Amino acid sequence: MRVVIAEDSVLLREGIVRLLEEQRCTVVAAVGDGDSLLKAVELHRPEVCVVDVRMPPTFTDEGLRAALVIREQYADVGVLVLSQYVEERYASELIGGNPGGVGYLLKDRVADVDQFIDGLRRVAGGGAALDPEVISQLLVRSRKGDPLAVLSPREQDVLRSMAEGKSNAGIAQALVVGEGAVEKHISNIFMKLQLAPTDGEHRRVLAVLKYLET
Amino acid sequence: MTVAATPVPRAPWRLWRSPYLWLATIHLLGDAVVVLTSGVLVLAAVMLMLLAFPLAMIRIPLTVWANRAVYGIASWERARARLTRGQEVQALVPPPRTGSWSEDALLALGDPGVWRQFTYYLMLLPLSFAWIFAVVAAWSIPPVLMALPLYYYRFAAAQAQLGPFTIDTTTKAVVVAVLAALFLALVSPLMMRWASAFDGWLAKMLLGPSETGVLAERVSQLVASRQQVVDSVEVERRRMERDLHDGAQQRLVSLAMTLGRAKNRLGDREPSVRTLIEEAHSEAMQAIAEIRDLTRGLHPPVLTDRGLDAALSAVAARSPVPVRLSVDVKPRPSLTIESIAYFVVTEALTNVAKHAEAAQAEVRVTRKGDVLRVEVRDNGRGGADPVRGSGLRGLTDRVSGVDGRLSVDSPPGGGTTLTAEVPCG
Repeated sequence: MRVVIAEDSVLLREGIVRLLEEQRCTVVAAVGDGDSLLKAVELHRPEVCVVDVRMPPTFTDEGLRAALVIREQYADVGVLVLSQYVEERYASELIGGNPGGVGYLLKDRVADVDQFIDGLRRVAGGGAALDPEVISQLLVRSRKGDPLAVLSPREQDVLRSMAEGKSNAGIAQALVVGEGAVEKHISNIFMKLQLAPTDGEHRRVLAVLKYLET
Repeated sequence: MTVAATPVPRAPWRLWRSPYLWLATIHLLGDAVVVLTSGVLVLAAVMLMLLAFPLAMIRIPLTVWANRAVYGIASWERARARLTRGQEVQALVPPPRTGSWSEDALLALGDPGVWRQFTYYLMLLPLSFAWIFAVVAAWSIPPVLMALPLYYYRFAAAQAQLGPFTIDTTTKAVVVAVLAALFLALVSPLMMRWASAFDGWLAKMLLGPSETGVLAERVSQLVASRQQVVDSVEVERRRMERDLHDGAQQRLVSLAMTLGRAKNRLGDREPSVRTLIEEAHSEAMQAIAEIRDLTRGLHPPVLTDRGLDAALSAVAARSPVPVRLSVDVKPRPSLTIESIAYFVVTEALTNVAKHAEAAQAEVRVTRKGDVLRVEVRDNGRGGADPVRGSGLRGLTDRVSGVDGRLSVDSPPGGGTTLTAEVPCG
């Protein structure tokens, strides 16, 4: 897996580089600000880039804005955004109607090597990896005619796990139920959200989108 | 020479030893000179101000210039008061320029300052005559009368008429001379002191700002300095957040990452070491989470970047009591006001979680004109007392720091509604 890293703290950047190399990823570039990130992506066309939200020169949402540019201009490059805080607003901007090839995680999730690498691979493969904190923030929006109100609490849990980017097996493990039960919940969700059975994988994305849009 | 603003001696014999007496005399005589010079100039300026008013329409700002001229001339008077009396009269401020010719001219005409200063010179005209008489009466007549005995001594046949009294003997002349000497010693200094005091009072009343003006000025100074304090506290909060973010947090994440790698590399070997590493790892993760909560409480970066709506969804999500959130704040208020509204919601939701025993809470933030309204409502047990709760008191302090109001409606058993209204013009 070819990766570009954008993180202004040298300490963390070096750490992530070493961690990824141990996991047999190829770090093709490690940079410290948004402009260099865009140049590196243009030059190396990586499968995925890991981006810190707060970077010089503005130290606000520099990395996020660069990530949005990458999402728009290089559809095949996955973007995994790391941040000290995960904010629902940033997540919504980042996803922008297409939850494929995007991830948004708390920075400290990096410390959980397996989970981090797993999320990174998902994003590189066109999937999604959203931090549980973002998901819970998305849930508190005051909604008008909430389409999710029709879902049972358990189904909401399942949908939430889907939004985090988990597979059926992952959801079953997280909710401590059998995979069969998860499948049943998911087909109920599709039915209740009135998603026609045209394409199995695609419906999954639509359900998550519906979840994120509301 | 400038007289230090020391208290003026009250007793006449002390006055004699003070330079004040002579400076006051000079000042009182000077009033006549001022009337003839500055007074005439001010009168001319005021006439010009009135007559040149129509010229403002064709963009000739003579009225404004004349208005400024009055201020310039009046400043000489303040300098004179400082020089001879050690009196500090605070300068008046001319009306600000608005950029519109006609409006500037109108402001110049209606400017109370210019009319006060003009009145000063008008009042000085009769006064300056009175002061000349007073100075002559105080310093010239007594010495002349004191010379009477000498006069009789030289010209025995002479006589003098003092009002109804005819002085025609040496004895009478001596009596008059003694009285005159006493007058000179005791009354003359007092006359100068009273006259000068009245003169100074007039300058203070008409050349300086009025009492309401002084108070209004003070109030606006205090408002400005309080605003600075409140703003600087917010800047400091942001700086602390950034320092923690760039320093301790990054280091801890890096440490946790190294521990995570160590754990991974160790695999299933050395289970006892692995346990230790796992403990250290989870400690580090907890420390990171704690610092994150701490810094987010100081000032969440998303508040600066995206505003209240974005920042509050994180607060609502972290609340253990389910929260419904609606935020409609357009246009965005200042960072300070946003920060205070954020703080109100954070504190209120903390209280709800700690004390309210509520099943549901609702946060509504709206902006109507120049007022930002924050409402946090819960369906808990109520009975919150804003006087006793330290959290509520902290909120009240922070809100009143920007002239906002905070009210708590919390009937026992009836849920609690906390409302904060903050001006955000």
